[in-house]
Amino acid sequence: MNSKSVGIITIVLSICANLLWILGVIDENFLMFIASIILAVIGLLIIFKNYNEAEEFFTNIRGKKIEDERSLKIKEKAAIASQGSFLAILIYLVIGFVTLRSLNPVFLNSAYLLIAIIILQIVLLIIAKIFYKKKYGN
Amino acid sequence: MKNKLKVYRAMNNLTQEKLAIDLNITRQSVIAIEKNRYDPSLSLAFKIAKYFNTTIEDIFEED
Repeated sequence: MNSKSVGIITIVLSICANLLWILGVIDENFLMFIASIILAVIGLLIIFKNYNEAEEFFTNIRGKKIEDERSLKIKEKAAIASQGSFLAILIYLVIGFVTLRSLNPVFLNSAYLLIAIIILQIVLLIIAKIFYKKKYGN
Repeated sequence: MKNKLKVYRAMNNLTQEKLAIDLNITRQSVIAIEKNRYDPSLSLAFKIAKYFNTTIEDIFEED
């Protein structure tokens, strides 16, 4: 198999496996869950058997570099921007849910859950900052 | 920051693809540098200057 075939088959199997997994969880269907695991295992076997072709497809293709300092910078900026936006949206949702708490007790419970997620995200951000500060010097 | 990367590339009859491969960066990065939309890191700027056998100041200048 050439690298393109291996790459495409792997991507398709991965998408199908993930979709079956999600549908299995939503539908509480154990057969879908088993089918997703089987597809994932098949995908892994294909990659294992055609490792060099898979690596060629997913990393450098015929000498073309996929990632460099600029693309890493773009990823970093996009991650920071999306994290900040996500935090802001969560905070607004918490404020909204707390405001609507008298309508339905579900809103207050949802607000508590969102507050826990916000705290977790802030803790992860602090840990990541400390890690990279140590890695790249203070 | 302005640069003369396109000029130096043309002087040496290089395509963007060839320059990207030789510098070990993406073609999109070469395009972004030439259009002054991306300022390369110091190490990459040194690499570019060394590649064209000139100094950083000859290729890059402040706005």
